Amino acid sequence: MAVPGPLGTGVLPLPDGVDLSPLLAVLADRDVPGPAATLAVAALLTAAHPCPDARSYDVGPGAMLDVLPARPDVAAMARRRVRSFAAGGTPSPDRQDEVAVAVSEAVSNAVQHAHGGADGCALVLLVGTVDGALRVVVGDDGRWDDTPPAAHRGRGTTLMAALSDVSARYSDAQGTVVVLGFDGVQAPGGL
Amino acid sequence: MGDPPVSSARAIVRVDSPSADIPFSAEARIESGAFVLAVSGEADVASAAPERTAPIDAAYAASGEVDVLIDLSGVTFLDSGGLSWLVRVRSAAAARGGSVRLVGAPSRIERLLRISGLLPLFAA
Repeated sequence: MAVPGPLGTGVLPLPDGVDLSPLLAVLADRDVPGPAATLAVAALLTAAHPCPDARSYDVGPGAMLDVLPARPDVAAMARRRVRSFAAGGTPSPDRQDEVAVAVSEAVSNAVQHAHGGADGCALVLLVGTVDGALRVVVGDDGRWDDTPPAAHRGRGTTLMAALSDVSARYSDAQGTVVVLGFDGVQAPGGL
Repeated sequence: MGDPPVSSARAIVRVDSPSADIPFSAEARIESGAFVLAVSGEADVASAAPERTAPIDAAYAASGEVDVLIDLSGVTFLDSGGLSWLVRVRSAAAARGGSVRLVGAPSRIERLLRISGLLPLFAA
């Protein structure tokens, strides 16, 4: 099954020299290097293809990789992409919705605190299947605690934790990575 | 949760989506002594942002009605952006001594309200 619904101008090839292995390690939770890995990948991708439009990259079957500008409407793009990516392997519409809400929360939060850099593309969204579970990584160059207001941010965190089986956030001076996992939700292929 | 009312009242304000990627509309009318807000589509941080929903707030403030009924039967997606909007509406009503009743919410939307601890804010 092909990865559906590319963003922006279609699926782009990965530029030369972009090594996804640190990002894939975050996805698989074999190693959690923090935001630096996702930011390095985002910087290389946007250097090759400057924003501000959203981009999808060809990372083979079983995974999807998007780079998104820090705009509120990209949450809708992200959840639509992840919904179709996971649709074949998701047991129920309610479970699909849980995935969509959690992804929307992660991306919306990243949008609200990301800085975007010179080209305005600050978000990396990577989705794949690891050991029979859907894994989602959202990376950005902002700090989690920059996001106002506290009540809204708290609700987003509560929903992510309640709707996923794994949810973790790593934030430092360079940026933030959120990792979500959904047991029993598989996408085509798998890593 | 109750069924939404059948309406013959005229809409007093309507807000649509900020983006082609997000199906969304919110329409307000006065009916049976309440400010009725019918929401359709996806309520998220973009579509339900305070600057987007401001015309609804203004219509409520100008309406003279106190109680609010929010019809969620057309909602296909809601996250914390939508929840924050519901809380803002509730705060505005509470400031007038009014209540906010939610009707027609799909069960998974009601579950999000419960998970967030927000269900007690709204009238049964």
